[in-house]
Amino acid sequence: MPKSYTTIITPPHGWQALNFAEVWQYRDLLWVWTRSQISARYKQSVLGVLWAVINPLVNMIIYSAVFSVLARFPSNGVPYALFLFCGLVPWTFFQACAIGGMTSLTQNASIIKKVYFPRLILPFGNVCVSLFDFLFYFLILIVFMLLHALSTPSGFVFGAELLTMTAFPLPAPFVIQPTWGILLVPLFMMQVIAVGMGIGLIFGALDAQFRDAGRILAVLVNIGFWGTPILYSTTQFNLLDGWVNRLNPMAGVVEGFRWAFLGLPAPSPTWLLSSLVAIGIFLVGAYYFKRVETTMMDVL
Amino acid sequence: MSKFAIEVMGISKRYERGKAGRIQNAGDVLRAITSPFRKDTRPDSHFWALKDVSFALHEGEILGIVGENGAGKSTLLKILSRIVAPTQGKAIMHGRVGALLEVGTGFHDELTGRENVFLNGAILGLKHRDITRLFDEIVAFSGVEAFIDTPVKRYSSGMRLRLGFAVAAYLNPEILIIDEVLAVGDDEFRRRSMGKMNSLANEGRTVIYVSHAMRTVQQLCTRAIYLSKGQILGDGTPNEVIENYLKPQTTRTTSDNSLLALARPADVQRDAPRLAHITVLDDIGNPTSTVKLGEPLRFRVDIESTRPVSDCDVIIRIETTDNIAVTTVRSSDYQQWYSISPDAPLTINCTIPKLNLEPAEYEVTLLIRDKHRIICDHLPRVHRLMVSNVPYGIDAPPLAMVGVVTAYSEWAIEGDS
Repeated sequence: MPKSYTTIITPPHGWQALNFAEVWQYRDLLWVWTRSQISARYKQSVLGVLWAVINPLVNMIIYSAVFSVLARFPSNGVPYALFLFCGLVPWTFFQACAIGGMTSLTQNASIIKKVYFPRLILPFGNVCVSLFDFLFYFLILIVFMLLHALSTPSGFVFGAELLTMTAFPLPAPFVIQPTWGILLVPLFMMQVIAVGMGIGLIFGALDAQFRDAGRILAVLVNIGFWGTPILYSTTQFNLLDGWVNRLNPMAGVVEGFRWAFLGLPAPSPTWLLSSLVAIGIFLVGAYYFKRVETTMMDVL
Repeated sequence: MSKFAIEVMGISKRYERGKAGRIQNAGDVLRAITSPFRKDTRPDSHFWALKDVSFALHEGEILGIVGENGAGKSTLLKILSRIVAPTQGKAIMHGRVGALLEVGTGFHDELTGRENVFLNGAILGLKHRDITRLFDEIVAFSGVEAFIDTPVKRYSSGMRLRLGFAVAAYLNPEILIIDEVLAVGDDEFRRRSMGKMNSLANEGRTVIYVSHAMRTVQQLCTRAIYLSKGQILGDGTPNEVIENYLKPQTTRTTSDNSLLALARPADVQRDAPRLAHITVLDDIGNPTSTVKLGEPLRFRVDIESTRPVSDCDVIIRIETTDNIAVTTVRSSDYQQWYSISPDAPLTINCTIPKLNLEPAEYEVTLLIRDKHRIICDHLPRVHRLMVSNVPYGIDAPPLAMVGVVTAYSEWAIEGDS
């Protein structure tokens, strides 16, 4: 809110309505909103914040069991659990940004209809809540990396492989070599936020009008999960001469994570192409959302 | 007083008709997706909830907005509090806006009262320490101390209302917008919240208040606007505007006062005498909807029937707008029994010579019963009646405090002759 607190109310038109500066002015609200969302979520639960950890852990164990132990998916020489988790972490974050971003509007209809604040605060707040969860996944990732590092060279029995049911003798002990790519991780995260929020905004705006949008998004996210090299590597499947992976912003991010944390080959410069796609999705989402925002109140 | 707090310039709002929930096939979906980019030109596809509304409010004014249901009052408040955007026009709000629209405000159900106070403070743009400073006052006013750490979803509607009002009024907005909420609160709360609004205005803040209760508007507001069908028809002192507000009602009720087309309660017989018209008459027998304090109340009721009926009695009940029955009069109490046949409709006059209703709005309920005391026709709250002539000016206490009728009383000092 500006210092003088003068507000001019006019009909919205076009890009002028896309007011990110206003979101910045309301950053205090963003903070309070995020905190209260987190506290509300764990208020009536016994395990509380642990739930943020349980889901990705269970996912990792199941996928590792199925795809590494049973299906014997290759993982470029990296312990499969780590390989998988490096993809699962950004994907789970993306999923939270997209689906949470969409539902943040319809779920808070009762507040939106009663009091004004920039509506973008809701999906942005959702991103912040998701970032909070992401910190936990991130911690798990670090813990597994440490366990692995401790177990590999000196032959500690207590290793990541054992924990994650991939205790099969690997061809050669793999040494994790995090690269300077770690410094780019915030950039990768920005890309995830852009795609996730963009999609969340488009579907949030649609969902306000017809509730099928939510179901459609769930299906699309599921398709996206299998279309992104999370369980497998880009060397294994490369659909349409690799164009699917090149244009899929999430594929670039997953590869980036593996490069940064595990020392796998860096994503090719075509990764920038996927960044452009991410920015495009975000801008389309924000624009469409703003166009609908003003009429959304009439139908919500 | 010289500075403007609110400037509203030609605000209009158009709603799409039947847009909500009417999506049934792929074509509708496509239309819904692309609607923000298209202009719907079909003439019947939209209606104007507000049409070219302009006014300006000085700091320290308390504006009352009156008008029938659907006149656009709530839409105007929603635009001024930025919940919906106008279709045309412009409004400038000089200061932070606190709004209490309908009951409950922007409460998050899962959060406690305390968390919601801070959330709403942040929505208003206040810093955490400012909210902390005001917190005790808010809680004290709302009277929910004992439940401040309970999730709001377990609050009663009264508690929500009180906390909602306290949050809106005490977080120091320069402009306070209140939509018809005091009607639900109890009397004590109504009195305190009106006092709070008054003191805010005295501090130079601006209040906009929407109400159906004319009396509250007269007591509280320094200015009133009468909205009808989305347009401002009256703007002036509350007394002037309320006079204005009553005039169209007079003409409307006299030109089209047929009751036959109205929906009846389910328990009413289908084939029976029907109450056809009701008219309130002034002292010389002309139709009116406003009666002056102390004047006789005169009703004219037309009754029709499709079959001959005999020994019917007619009942008229007068109630306040908050559902307190003031009196019920029965023709049978005065040995008046009526017979009606299809070719001989009946017109009955009923006069209550002295009821001394306090100036306010009242509602009239009509019943007709047959000789077995079975209700043949029943029109609950079918007619509005205004009693005017404010005797005390705008400081008058609300009806619930003074009573519904004003009584003639004689006063003397004992011993004087």
